Amino acid sequence: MSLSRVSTVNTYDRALLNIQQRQSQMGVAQQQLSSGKRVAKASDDAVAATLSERTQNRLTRTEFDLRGLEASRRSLAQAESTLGSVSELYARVKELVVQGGNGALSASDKASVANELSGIREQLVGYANQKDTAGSPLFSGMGPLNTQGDPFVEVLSTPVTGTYGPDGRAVNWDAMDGQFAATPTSLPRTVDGSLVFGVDGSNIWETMDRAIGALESDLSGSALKSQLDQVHIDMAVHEDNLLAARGKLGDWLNRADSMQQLFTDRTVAYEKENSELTDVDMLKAVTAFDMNQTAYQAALKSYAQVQKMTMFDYLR
Amino acid sequence: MSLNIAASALTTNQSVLQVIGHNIANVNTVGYSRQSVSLSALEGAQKGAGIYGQGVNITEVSRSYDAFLARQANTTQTLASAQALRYEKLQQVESLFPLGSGSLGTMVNSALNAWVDVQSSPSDSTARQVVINRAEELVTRIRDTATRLGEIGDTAKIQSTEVGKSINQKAEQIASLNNKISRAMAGTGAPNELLDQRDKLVADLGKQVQVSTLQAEDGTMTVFVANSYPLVLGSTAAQIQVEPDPLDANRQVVNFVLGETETRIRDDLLVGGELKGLQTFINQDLPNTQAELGRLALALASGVNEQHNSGLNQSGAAGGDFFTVSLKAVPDDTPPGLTIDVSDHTALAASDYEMTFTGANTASVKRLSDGVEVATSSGLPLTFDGLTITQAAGATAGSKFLLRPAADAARTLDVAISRPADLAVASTVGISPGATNTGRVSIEAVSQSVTPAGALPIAIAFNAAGQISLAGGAFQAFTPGKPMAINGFSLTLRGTPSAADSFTIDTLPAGAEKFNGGNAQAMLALRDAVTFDGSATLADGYVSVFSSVASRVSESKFAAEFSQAQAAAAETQRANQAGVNLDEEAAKLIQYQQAYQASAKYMGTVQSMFDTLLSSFH
Repeated sequence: MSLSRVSTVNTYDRALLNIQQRQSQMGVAQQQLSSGKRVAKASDDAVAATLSERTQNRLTRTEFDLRGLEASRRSLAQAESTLGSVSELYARVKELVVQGGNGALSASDKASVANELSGIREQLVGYANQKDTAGSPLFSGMGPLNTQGDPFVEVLSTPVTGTYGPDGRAVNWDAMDGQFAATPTSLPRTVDGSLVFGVDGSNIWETMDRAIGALESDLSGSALKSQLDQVHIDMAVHEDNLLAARGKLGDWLNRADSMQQLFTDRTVAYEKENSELTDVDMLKAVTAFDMNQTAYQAALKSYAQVQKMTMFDYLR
Repeated sequence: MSLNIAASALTTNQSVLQVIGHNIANVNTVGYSRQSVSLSALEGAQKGAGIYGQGVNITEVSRSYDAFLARQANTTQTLASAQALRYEKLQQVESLFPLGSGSLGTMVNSALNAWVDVQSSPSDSTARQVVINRAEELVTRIRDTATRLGEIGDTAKIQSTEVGKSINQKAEQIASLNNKISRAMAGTGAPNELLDQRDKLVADLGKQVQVSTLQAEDGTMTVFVANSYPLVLGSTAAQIQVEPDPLDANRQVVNFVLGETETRIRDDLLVGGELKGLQTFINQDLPNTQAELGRLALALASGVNEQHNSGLNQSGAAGGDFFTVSLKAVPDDTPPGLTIDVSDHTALAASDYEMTFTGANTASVKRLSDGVEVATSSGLPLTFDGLTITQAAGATAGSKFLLRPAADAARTLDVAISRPADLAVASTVGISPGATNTGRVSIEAVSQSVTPAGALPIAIAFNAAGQISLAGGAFQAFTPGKPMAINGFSLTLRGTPSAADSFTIDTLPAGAEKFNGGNAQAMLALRDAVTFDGSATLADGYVSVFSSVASRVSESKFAAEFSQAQAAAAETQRANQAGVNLDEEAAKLIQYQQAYQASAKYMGTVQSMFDTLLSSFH
C-alpha cells in the first residue's frame, strides 16, 4: 500500500458523491430561500423546532384570549349603552314624579302620568333583560335561573308583603347573585343586575309601582306628597347604583383597550420569536446559496477536467 | 538456449500484458482487486567459465488485498448501513409530526381553546358544536398518526424479513464459494476471482448484518454474526430468521437457526447492518414514539373526561365521558380478564409494560421504556404510573401480558359526544355572596373538580384580617386570583374582602344550567394543569412528544452522517490499495509492451544468428 496510489473508480465515485452532496446542499439552500423557512421539519434544528412549537401554543392561546376579550368587550359596551338608555329613562321618571306631585293636576292628568310611568316600567324590564349578540343576558350576575335567560321576571299573582302598585305585581330577581371578576387575561361578560336595579322589594320597579300606585289611587295632597317624596329618595339611590355600575363598566372597557393592546403586542412578540426560531436569515441564505453555487460549479468543472486526463490519451 | 530465453521472455511478457488487460477490463468491477505478476529470473546453467541465466518465469499472479483495510471498510460500512436505514425510517416518522400551524400541538390547543367561546356564551349551540368538531378533528388526527406509525412499522417488518432472506442467500453463496476455494487452494494457486467474489459477498453481508470473519488454513472463511453465532462454517450455512415477538406482534425478534436448534439473538448483540437499524427502529423507536403520542392522548382523554363528568349538560344531567378509549392487555386471555383504568392522568409514563403473574393474584410489572420494575410480586389490583390494573379471575402463575395503554389510547381515541346539548358546560355548583357583604370580592371561577366530590353546601368566610376560612376550617391567608381546592371543588376569588364577608357554595339551582359556563371555565384551566412528568402542562404536552421525536431524528441524522463519512473514508483507503488505476496500467502497458517488443527483437536477432550460421555451410 502506498500513500499516493488512488483507485480510478473510487476517484470517480467520490467525485460523484461530492457533486451530489453539493447539489443537495444547493437544493436545501434553494428550498430555504423559496420557502423562507430555515426549520421546515424537526431534524432541521430540533431545539428551534421544539421552542417554536411552544411559542406557537402561546400564540394560539393569546389569539383565543383576544377573542374572549373581544366578546366580553362587545357585551360590556352593549351593557354600557343599555345603562345609558336606562339613565335617560330614570331622568324621565324623576320628571314625571315631580309633575305628578303638582297639586293642581286633575285625577285624569295624574292617571296619564301614571300611564307613562307604567310604560317606562315595562321598558325598564326589557332593558334589564337585555341580551348580547350571543343571546346571553347582560345583567344576570352569576347566571339566570330560568331557561329564557331573563334575570328579572314579572310576577303578578304572588304579591310580596309591602308591594306597592296595582295588582300586587312585582319584578323579581331570578338569577344568581355575585359578580364575575376581571382577571389579567379576561373580563366578565355580565353585570350583577341586582346591584344595578336593586334587590327584590326595593328595586326600581317597586319604586315606580309606589309612584304609579300613589298616582292612580286618589290620595290626598299630603299623603301623595309623602309617597312621592319617598320615591324621590329611592330614585336617588337607584341613580347612584346606576352611576356606580356605569363607572365600573367604563373602567372595564378602558381595561379592555389596554388588555387588547397588551395581547396584540404579545402576539407580535410571539410571532417575532417564532420567526427568529424558524425563518431563514435571507442575507445568510443568499450568501450560502452563492457559495454553494460556486462550489458546485467548481466541482463540476474540475470533475470534467480531471476525468479528461488519462495516460491512454498519450499512447499513440 | 538463446531461443529458450527469447521464448520465455515473449510468453512471460505476453502473460503480464494479459494480466494488465484483465486489470483494465475489470476497472469498473465492484469488489475486484487488481492483480500483479511476480517475475523471477530462471536459474542459470554452468557453461564453461560462467553461469548463464536462462530467461524469465512467472512466480505468481497475486491480487492486491489487505485484510485489515477490508475489515475496516466492512465494519464502518456495517454501522453506516444501520444508521442510514434507521434515519430513513425516522424521517418517515418525522413527517407525521409537522411543525407550525398544521401541527398536532396546534390541534390539541384548538380543541381545548374552543371552550373559550362556550364559556363566554354557554347557551350558544354553535360554539358548543365547534368544541365537538375541534375534538373530532383532533382524535382523527391522533388516530391517523397512530395508524400511519403502525403502517411504517409494518413496512419495516416486511423489509426486515427480506433482509433476513437476503442474509441467508449470501450465507449459502459464501458456503459454496468456501467449498470451491478450498478445492482450488489444494491445487495450484490462489483463485483470485473467487476470493474477490467471497470478499464482496462478506462486504455485502456486512451491510445487512454485522459479521466477523476468520480465515482457515484451507482457505475457507468462517463467518460469525453477533460475535459468536457461526453463520457460515466451512461449506455449511446456518440461517437467520426474523419473526414477530411471541408476546407482542408489534415487536420482532431475530433467531439464529442451525439445524434443529433455534437461538434468539438479543438486539444488543447485533451491532450493525440494516437488520440492526430495523430492529432498533421496530423495537425501540417506534414503540417509544407510539407511547409518547399515546400518553398525550390518554392524559388528554382522562383529564377532559374527569372534568366533563364533573359538569352538567344543557338538560342538567351529569356530563359523562367526553372521549372514549379502549385499553386492553395482550394477549387478551380470560382468565384473568385484565382491566386497565387510568387512576391519575398526571402520573402516566410514556411506556409499555410487561406483566408477569407470580401467582394467581400477584404479579410483577416491568416498565419497558427504562426496564424498571414498577411492581414486584404484588397483589392485584395493582396501581402504578397512574394506572390501575384489576383482574376478573385468578391467573396462571408465569403467564405474561403486555400492556400498551398509551399506544391503545392513540389508536382508539374517539369523541363520545355528538349533540351540542350533551356538552357539560355548566358546573354542578354555584356560589352566592352573603347578603351583608360589603367587601369588593368578586368570583373568578367555581366548579366541581373531581367526581364524586364532597358534601354541599360549603361555607366560605372572611375575618377582619382579610383571611379566609374554607368549609368551617381555620382562617388562612387569602391570595386573590389563586384557585383554592375544597373537598373536590375549586374556587377562585378576586378583590379585597371586608370583615364578615361570606360566600356559600351550593348545588347549582335548577334552571341555571343553560347559562352557566363554570365547567367550561374549569376545562380551560386544564390547559395550564401540570400533567406530564410533573413539569409540562396539558397544553404543552405535544411539545414533549415533538421534542423527543425531533431529538431522536436529529441524533440519528448526525449518527448517519458521521458513520457514512467514516465508511466512505475507510472504503477510499481500501479501494486505493486494491482498486485499479488506469494510468498505472497504461504505464505498465508501455513497459511490458516494450519488453515484449524487445523480446521479439531478440528472437529476431537469435534467428538471424542462426540464419548467418546456417548460410555459412553453403
